[in-house]
Amino acid sequence: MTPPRLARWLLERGLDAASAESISGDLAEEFAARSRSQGLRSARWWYWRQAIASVAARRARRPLSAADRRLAIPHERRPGFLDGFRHDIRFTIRTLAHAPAFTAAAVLTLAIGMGAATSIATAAHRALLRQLPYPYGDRLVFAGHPDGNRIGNVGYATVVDWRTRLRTLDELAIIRGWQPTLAGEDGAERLSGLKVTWNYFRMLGVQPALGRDFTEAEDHPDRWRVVLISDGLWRRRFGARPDIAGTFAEFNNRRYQIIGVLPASFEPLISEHFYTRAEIWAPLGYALNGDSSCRSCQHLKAIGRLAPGVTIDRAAAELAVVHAGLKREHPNDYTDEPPGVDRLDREIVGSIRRPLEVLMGAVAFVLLVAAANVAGLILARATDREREIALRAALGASRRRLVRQLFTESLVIAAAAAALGTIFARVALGFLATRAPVTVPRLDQAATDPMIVAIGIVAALVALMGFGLLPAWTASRSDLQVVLREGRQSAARRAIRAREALMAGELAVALVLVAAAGLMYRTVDRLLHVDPGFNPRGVLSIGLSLVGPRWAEDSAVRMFQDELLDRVTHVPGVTRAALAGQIPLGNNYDRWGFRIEGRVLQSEADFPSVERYSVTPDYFSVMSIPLKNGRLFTGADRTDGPLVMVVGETTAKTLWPGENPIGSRVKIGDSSGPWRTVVGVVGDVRHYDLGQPPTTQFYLPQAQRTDSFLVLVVRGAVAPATLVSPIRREIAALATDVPVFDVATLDDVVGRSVATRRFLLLLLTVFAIATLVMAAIGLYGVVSQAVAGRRREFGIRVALGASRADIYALVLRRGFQLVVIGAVVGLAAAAGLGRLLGSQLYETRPSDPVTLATAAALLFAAAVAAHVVPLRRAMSIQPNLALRNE
Amino acid sequence: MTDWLGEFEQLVLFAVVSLEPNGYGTTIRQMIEARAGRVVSAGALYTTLERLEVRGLVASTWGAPTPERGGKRKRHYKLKPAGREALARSWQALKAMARGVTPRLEQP
Repeated sequence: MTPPRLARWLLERGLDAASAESISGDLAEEFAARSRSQGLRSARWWYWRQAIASVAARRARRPLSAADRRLAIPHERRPGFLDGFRHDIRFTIRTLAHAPAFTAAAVLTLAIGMGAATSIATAAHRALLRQLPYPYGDRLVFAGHPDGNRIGNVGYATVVDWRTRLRTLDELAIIRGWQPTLAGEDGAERLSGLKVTWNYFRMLGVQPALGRDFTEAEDHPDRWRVVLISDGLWRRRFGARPDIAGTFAEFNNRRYQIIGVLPASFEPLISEHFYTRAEIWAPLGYALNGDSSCRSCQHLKAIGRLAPGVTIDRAAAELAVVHAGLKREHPNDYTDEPPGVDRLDREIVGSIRRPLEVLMGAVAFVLLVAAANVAGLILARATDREREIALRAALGASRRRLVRQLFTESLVIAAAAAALGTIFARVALGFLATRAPVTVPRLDQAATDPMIVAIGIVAALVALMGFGLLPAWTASRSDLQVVLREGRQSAARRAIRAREALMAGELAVALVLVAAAGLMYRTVDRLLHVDPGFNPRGVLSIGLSLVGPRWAEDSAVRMFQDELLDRVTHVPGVTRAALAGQIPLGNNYDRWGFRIEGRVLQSEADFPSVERYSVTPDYFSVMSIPLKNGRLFTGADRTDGPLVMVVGETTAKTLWPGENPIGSRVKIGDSSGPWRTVVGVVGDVRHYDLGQPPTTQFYLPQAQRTDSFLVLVVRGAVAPATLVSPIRREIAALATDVPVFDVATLDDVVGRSVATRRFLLLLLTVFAIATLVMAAIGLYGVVSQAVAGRRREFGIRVALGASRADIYALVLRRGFQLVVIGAVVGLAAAAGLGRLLGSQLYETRPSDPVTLATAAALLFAAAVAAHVVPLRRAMSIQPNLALRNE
Repeated sequence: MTDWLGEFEQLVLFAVVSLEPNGYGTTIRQMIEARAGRVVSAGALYTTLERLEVRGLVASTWGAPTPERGGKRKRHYKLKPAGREALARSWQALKAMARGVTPRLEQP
């Protein structure tokens, strides 16, 4: 029950020491009494009022100086700074109320700009600037063997050696995905989880809210059946039982002890590429002699923590040295290329980073355009009021006073816009949250972050102060006598020129954004027209997981598969069904070493890695993947038959250049496995991303290589969505412990793969439209003002016989000079900006002439629209009225 | 030079006299609020008190810090002879001016 901190701070700072002591003491005392008698709310409210009024009063009337003491003029109210300020604000609000159109335009424009700026800044901040939400988040790094441009996986034995040899990392943990099944009354549920080394949470600096963390002893092949669960899972499935720690639960039909619950505030690691939103964690439980622990068994992710004060470069250098040593000791297990290490937050943001940076730039532009528009409005107003200001100056108002008055006007507008803009930002964030890809976490909650709101307000104030000063300065500089004598013609010209410069800039910015949106649109459009190598239309995909003791034997899984396919193909509306270990664009990776008989390679690591799909025979027909050569799988390719495989076209071309692969024998994984004979070649599919060229791929019969995570793909004669419930019923009838997840049409799966780009497209489009509209409004203002300023001239021209077309030409020439300047500058900038979008563009050149031309055409169209009303007004000028007017 | 008091200063001095010798910010302010119906900020009150002190009309002494004041000390005020004189003079002047018109000013 202490007084509000901020108000107390205000008192301490706003008052001299002696009065601060007595005043804040008095207020604290009465605050306590009031909060007892009237409640905390009213007491706080009272305290705030008292604090502000006290500081204001003390500032306005400083204690008497020695001179005052001599004169002893006690209660003459001398106007202090705050009094003048209060007066200015009151005056401003009155004048603004008299110009509602101006006020509304200024406030709305700025609020839209601010709302856009704040919401995008928030989204981008959430996604890329924010540190990882852990105590040691800023020191976390991600390390692994290089995989294309990214940092990839490592083997267990490698990490163990790294852990003992690296000095620059003080913790090193391993994670791998884990999807256990939790059985329940309303059906089995597949959970998202991670297996982690025991030090994982310790490395993050996170402790369970209930129970305890893993111990080192539990990270062992025989002792790892303990789990930590998220707050969400605890509430959803375990009724938020406070005594949960130490109890047992069944996952994958096995008993696990729940040892703790993480805090509600804990955010799991998520990223575009490899993590899903984990809710459950278990120890990794590997040992060096385990089957999957070898150095070339690269299926684990390593996350480390930099020792205090160590830079990422030092860690990378040390890792290269350690790698060179390991390579000498185990020459067959490593390539020469040293492992990569990068900040974990950068890695998690992934490829969306660059485009988000572009968007941040775009936002700055939008805010700039908004502020420029408002500055234009204020400038125009200042011109209109030039005589008033000159008169006030002549009557003795100091220049400082006048500047302050105009400045106050900017301030009041900015404050109103900030309030409205904050509301806009909230709405926008709510909207974005529903459309953002999963990698941008908790967007909807971001709006309540007071820091973000504060940043928005400060941004608006800074923008406006800058622009508010400009008109104030030009206005106060104008020569009084000239203004009073000449009317406002010449001064108006000067102001118009300043506005025109602003205007050309705005138009250029608008063009850049429209072009960027256009490039993104073409990219998404092209991507959606890419042939993925399979036909998604009318196909439903359903994820299944068969884990637990019941499914330990492959034969049990195979029986389930046969029975399931039999039942599903008899569901009315289903034409074909198949099962696969994974499907293209499904965000899964399953690459295997590929040893072709008769080829000798230097080291283990040099074997090509090829994407594996284990499928049932009908898979190719369900997916419409064409056979190019040889044969497909048949029902005869069973466990007891000869081992066979089918390869993709790219695999055939790159691994058997100029040869026919059919008949060749291949070993999968390490050298101990059986030989498998290539029997067919099929068309390629795009596995990772529609924008990436097809990778190397091979297929095995499910019967000869059985998976426990399966995707059921079903082609139907009816809408895929209608098949979901009957198929679910069939699955439940077969087994109650098989959870169903990731139910989606293949069309959706394909669509999801362009989700990030679509999101970018959406944002860019919104910005482009907002900026274009604002620029058009600004142009309208400039042209109208010019027309108004030239009424007399037009009147004379009309009186002297100028035609309608002559006047049109006069008005349009000025406006379109600006548009052309803006377009030229904008086109040059757009080509540069497009390069920044580079990684997200697909088969679209940044300088794509069609896009740029379309953008320019849109700008001209907007410019024409902006001219319509001013042109009408120019046409309606009556010569006699116009001449009499001045 | 004769000191004349402003209206608010008179209110403050009356409160100081009535609360003597223990009057301090809160009690003075509450008394003015309760009797005269004037709500003032602590800052404004102290501005006036300090001015009165500078003019030699009141004197202040620091009390001991208390926990309910957040460890801050109280500042006690009492009237000095000059203050007593000035307040008396103001009061006399007011009474003299009010002679004969009081009934008309009373609230109906």
